[in-house]
Amino acid sequence: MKKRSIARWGAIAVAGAAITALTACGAATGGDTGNTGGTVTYLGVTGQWEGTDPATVYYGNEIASLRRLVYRGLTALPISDDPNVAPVADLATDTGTSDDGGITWTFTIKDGVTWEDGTPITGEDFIYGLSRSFDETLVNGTGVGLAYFGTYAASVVEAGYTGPFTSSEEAKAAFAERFYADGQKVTYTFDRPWGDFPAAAAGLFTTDPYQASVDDGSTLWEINSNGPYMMEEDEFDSALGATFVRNPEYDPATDSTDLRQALPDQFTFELVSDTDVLFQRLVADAGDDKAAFTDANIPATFYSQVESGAIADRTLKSTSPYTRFLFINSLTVTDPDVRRALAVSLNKEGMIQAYGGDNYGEPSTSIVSNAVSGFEPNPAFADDNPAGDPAAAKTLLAGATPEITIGYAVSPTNEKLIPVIQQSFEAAGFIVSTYPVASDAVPGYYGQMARKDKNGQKVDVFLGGWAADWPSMSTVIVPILQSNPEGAESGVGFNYGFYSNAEVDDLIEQALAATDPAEQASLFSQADAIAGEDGAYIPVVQQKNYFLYGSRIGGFLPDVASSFYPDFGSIYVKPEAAE
Amino acid sequence: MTRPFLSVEDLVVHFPTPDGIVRATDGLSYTLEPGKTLGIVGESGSGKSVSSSAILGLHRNTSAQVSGRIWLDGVDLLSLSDKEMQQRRGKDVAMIFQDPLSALHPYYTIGNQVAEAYRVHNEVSKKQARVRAIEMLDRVGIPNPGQRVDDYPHQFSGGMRQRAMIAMALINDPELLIADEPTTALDVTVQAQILDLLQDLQREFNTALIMITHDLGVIAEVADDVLVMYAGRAVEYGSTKQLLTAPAMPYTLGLIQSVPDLTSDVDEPLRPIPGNPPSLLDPPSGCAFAPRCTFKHLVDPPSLPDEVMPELEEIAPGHLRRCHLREHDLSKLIPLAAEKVEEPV
Amino acid sequence: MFAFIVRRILVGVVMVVVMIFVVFSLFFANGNPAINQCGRYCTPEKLAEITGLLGYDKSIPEQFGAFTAGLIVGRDFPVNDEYREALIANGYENRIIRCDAPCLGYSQSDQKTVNQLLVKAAGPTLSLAVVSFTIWIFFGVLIGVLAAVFKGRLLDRIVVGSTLVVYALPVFVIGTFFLQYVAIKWQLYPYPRFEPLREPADILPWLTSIMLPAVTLALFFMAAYVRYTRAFVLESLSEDYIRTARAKGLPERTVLFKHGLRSALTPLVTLAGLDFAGLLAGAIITESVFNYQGMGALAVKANNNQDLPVLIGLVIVGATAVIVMNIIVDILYAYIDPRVRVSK
Repeated sequence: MKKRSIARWGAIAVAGAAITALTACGAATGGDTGNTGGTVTYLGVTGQWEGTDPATVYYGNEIASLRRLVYRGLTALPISDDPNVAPVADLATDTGTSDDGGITWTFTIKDGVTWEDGTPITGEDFIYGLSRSFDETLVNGTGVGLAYFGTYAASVVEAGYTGPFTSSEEAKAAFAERFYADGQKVTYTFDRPWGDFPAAAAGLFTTDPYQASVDDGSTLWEINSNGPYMMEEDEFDSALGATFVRNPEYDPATDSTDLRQALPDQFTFELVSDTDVLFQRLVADAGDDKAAFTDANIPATFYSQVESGAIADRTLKSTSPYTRFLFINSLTVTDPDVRRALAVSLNKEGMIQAYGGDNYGEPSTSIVSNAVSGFEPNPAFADDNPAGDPAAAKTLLAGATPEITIGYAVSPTNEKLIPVIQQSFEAAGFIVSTYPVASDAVPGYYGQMARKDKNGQKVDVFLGGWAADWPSMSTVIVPILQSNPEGAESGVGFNYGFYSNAEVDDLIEQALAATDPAEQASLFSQADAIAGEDGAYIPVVQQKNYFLYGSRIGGFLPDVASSFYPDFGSIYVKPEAAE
Repeated sequence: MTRPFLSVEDLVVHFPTPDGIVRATDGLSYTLEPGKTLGIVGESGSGKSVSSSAILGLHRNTSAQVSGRIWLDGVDLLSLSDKEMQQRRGKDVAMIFQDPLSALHPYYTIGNQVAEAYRVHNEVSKKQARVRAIEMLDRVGIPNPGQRVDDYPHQFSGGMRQRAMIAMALINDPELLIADEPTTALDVTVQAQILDLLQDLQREFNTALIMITHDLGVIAEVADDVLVMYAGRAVEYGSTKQLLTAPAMPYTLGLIQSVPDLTSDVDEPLRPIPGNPPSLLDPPSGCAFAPRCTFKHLVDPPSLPDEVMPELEEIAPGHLRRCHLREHDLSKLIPLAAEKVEEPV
Repeated sequence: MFAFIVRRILVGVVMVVVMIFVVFSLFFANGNPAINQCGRYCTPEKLAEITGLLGYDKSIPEQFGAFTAGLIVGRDFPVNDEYREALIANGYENRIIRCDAPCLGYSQSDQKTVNQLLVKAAGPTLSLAVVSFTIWIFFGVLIGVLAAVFKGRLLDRIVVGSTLVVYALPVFVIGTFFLQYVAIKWQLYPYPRFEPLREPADILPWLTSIMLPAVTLALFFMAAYVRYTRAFVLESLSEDYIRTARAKGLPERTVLFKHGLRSALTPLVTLAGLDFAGLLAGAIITESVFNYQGMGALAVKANNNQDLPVLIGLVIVGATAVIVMNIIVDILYAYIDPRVRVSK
């Protein structure tokens, strides 16, 4: 999570997404399978790939594709249109066991699973894979896994562990004490309960195995497969892509078609720098592009071309794990009535129009996306008028006219957005000013907003966005609503509003320790409801996806497992006759 | 009746421009026989070079409008096709130019350029042409020609370059040679050598020579006949002796008077012709020289030169002039000359 | 001639060294570049760690010295000495990246040596430069000569008018038209994906793959070269020696091609040499429109990432290309114009 989520967020915003009503996706699920063979072309956007070394993989689209093709994990989420899908065993024999409420987790690795060179995968490979994720040089200083492990295994980080290559003997001992393998049995011990660790292992590549013998210090773009496909080239080209062919060492008997149907003989990853070019190719639907698809959203300029005729049959709308909201600075806006007044006055519909309209998203009622397992609308916001209710806000303010400063990053979209917010607040009686942060500012927008003192500026309300790292509310509620540590000068996780509520913290602790997903979700929903009532944030928009794919693409299913990107596990090439 | 060897009849060369027609040469006629030299004198822009270039057909690739007749050895050159003209150019008629440095291509050797002139009109091998070029370079007085043949123009001195140009012009033994100010760009000592060389060669090959110059000294030395041009027209035409001793046109007189005389007092100021030649774009309807003429007031009536163009009249056998003055002997009028002339507009 | 070339090369080397130093200085003038690798949520501790890891904590002269030493004897990466010592102490010598001389540096964000990145980017860039150069020189000069010969006539007017239009069109527009309409919408030409030229059998696919971007780039230069050529030929045709050539009775063809074109070529050689050198540093817009991963794309990426080693490497390659092309132009010049030749 952390800033990488924000980076991912930014990338999506650049892609200029926009969507309509949420439709449950009706494509093939794990049960029925399509045609075998052929080549599927995945059209990606250049610059959205930052590495294929599992220690660096973080973006949702990277996870969605690599998990199905080349990198199997301890666990994985099945191909499914069920929004409350649960992780299942992948390389491990089960989804892990914990006898102490989520502190110690034990997995047993399957027999017969191998690397692409035929070498069996051992428990030690998992420990090595985890250990190298602690190396800053390897993860380009921004590893997401380390952010979680820094929380759940803080003692290892505090002991100075920086991965296997450079750590002191003491630090290595601290790591080895908590994470170790015994034959095919792998044990993880955390400082505090990590109830949804099996789900995290499905969504993070930090816990993936790594074959030490191929680790040579320049692995950023290498892929050493243990899945049904393997990369033909030596390296993934960050600007052009790669080709994936069948991995002869892969044994389908060790896997499940619930996770990987592996129908096409080949996947060609072709990265394109210009989304217009990408969509024109899909619109043209010629030659190999008939069996092509993308995980980028249809740009608004293409709506008129794709909304009618046969081409409309090749589009699909789905929800997205992304939400946008307004942070409230709890340190400067302390009166809960004032916070509520801000929330009820906000014209979310006007903001959505500024973002790009109905295809972009719909008014939301929580920071949690409806794509996350166990999602429930936050009752605190459920009855708010999405067009804003200045009268209700005035009642809450009781004649007061508080001064409010809105912080935002300068961008064309935000320049349209800010006046809407400003007018909403002013209609309720607030005296509003703005604090724009230029795109080349140092520190950047989030760098400034992260600070407790907002870099010396008075900022009361500021724009933010988030997506779940894996479809669990823990990856949203914890980073945004859990109190920052005593004395922290910068927000930990994504709690840049410095929200702090003992009741919420308590519910979060209970939820983290819960190993039953339904129970955990319920506890997080309670925490969210309290924070909402407390005015911790103002939900704005639940984003949507709007996809286009070629006429010979079958099994096109954006699902929970793939962060609502199209699932690579079910996709296949329809035979010519089926065109 | 046999035609003269070269007969230029009523030659007109006009250049259309966006501003109007430039009348570079208008109604020019003269004749020339083999072995003889015609000097054409005039200021820059008087049409002397333009009319001579017309003989070689050098205006064919431009927008110039050329009319009249140019008879050379019984053939009207203006009636020839481009191809026929090209075959005569450099063979029957050759030309040498004022500045041999710019007239020679800087990127090719002297030998290459001289031999090229030979090869284009003779079916010979490169080697034969080279031998011939060396022969010609030797003939024009270039020392060590076998070696210098491979030099580039910039490696030659000015006089040597002009010798090379002459070699190039004469390599095909042309019947007519046009020398356009061949000595102007050269040192004085070299000038005399080049003129001597030209005269020697003319005698040797019995070539008809047109010597274009503004230098009456050159005329006095080499020309048999002289044609004085002003504003695109002939203003006086006659034998060298007639013109230099008894100029019958004030412009010719002015040219003679403006030549510094070695015998005269060094303190005596030079007497250039006052004023400037008229624009050829919009020439005066009367006598083109009238605005600068110091004798204009002696014409009866004095306004006549401004209104009427005088015709060429024969004042003595073979001596023609274009002037409204009654008096043929201008020396008588010198004391009556006006101190000042009106400034041309 | 030999001494002249040696002198020019020495001057060139000094220029490159000065330029590297200037790039170093400019790069650090804006504050610590490590902040760009630190992510959006950057603590002072983390920034210090990354700064040290990238070697940016050293003084500029020190870094410059280490870089120059790398050029001569090669270098080990990561640059941070303690990090490398820790690797050795833990038995991971294999993780030290050896970059052989002439080492242009190591890009931490790509985990590749700059040399590797440049070699990879050189393929598309060189291909694009050579093919488009060939096209624009051939057609540019040919059309320019024709326009000069038919000066003022219909052909000339059409040529001059259309070059003006093409020249005014941004490369981006031409490229986008070729890609989105010719290749995608109308399917008139295969979608251009760069195919490397490794063996003779690759020539056809290579040429096919490079043609659209090469023509895009060539059109832009061609428009300029038609006009240059036309002007130079016209100027040359007004020279006295052309009159001499005609007076000799040479056929018009010889006058034009032997006497006229040769001197018009001289200034064209200079222009063409420098334009070609410029292309070797990458055609940023064309490469980005066609998603060609050449020097231009590398430069854009390195600039976005503030990847100093890559930027320096590109500066060196670009500067060297310009200097080498200048020397080649000088030699060609001497070949074309005997006046430039040092006398025997």
